[in-house]
Amino acid sequence: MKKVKIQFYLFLQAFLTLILPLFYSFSFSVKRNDQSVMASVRFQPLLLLLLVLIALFVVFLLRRRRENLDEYAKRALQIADSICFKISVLFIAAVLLPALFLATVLRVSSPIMVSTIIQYGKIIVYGIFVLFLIRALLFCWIDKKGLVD
Amino acid sequence: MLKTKIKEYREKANMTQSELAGAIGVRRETIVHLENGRYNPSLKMAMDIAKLFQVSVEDLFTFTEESQ
Repeated sequence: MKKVKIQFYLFLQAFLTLILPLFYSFSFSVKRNDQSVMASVRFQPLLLLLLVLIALFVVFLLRRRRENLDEYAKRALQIADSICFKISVLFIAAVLLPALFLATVLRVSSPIMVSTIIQYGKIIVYGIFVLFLIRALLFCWIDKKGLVD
Repeated sequence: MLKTKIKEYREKANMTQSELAGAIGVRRETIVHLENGRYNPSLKMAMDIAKLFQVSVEDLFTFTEESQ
């Protein structure tokens, strides 16, 4: 049986994290007209749970067929993960903290704030997808270039 | 800087990179980087390769100080 390349596996993981932003966009939306801003909520937790379980099952199945993660690949993944960690810390500082600050200063119940929170939520769920994508790309780059201590 | 004679020994043993990778349980890319000096292996991997070619680790790898 042909083994699944690590690169393919990492890109598949990134692709599966697209479930979150797609589900989020389906669940929360903002409707604007001249007079007001309305938040529309169609949240269905069971659908999200089902999608996440399917994604985890696919990842689990392919993990068994994944190419051997040797010491070089482990080291390359560690480096990619540490870079992604730094990016996510920057992301939290640049996006989440200002959002928290805004929510404290402004009234959360105001329609504009609800719309802002929904937009921030979108940034977060797309951010997770982008982080996974960056991780896969970084791994490919390190795998191509090599590692010299 | 770590210099290696893996390629030399591999060719002497008439092995491909994939065969060597399979024999020591790593990916072919790892062997490519090892041969090109773009990866310094762990002691275990170095010993596995040395054992396969029936040479010592010192025969396989030489360490030279990089001039500043």
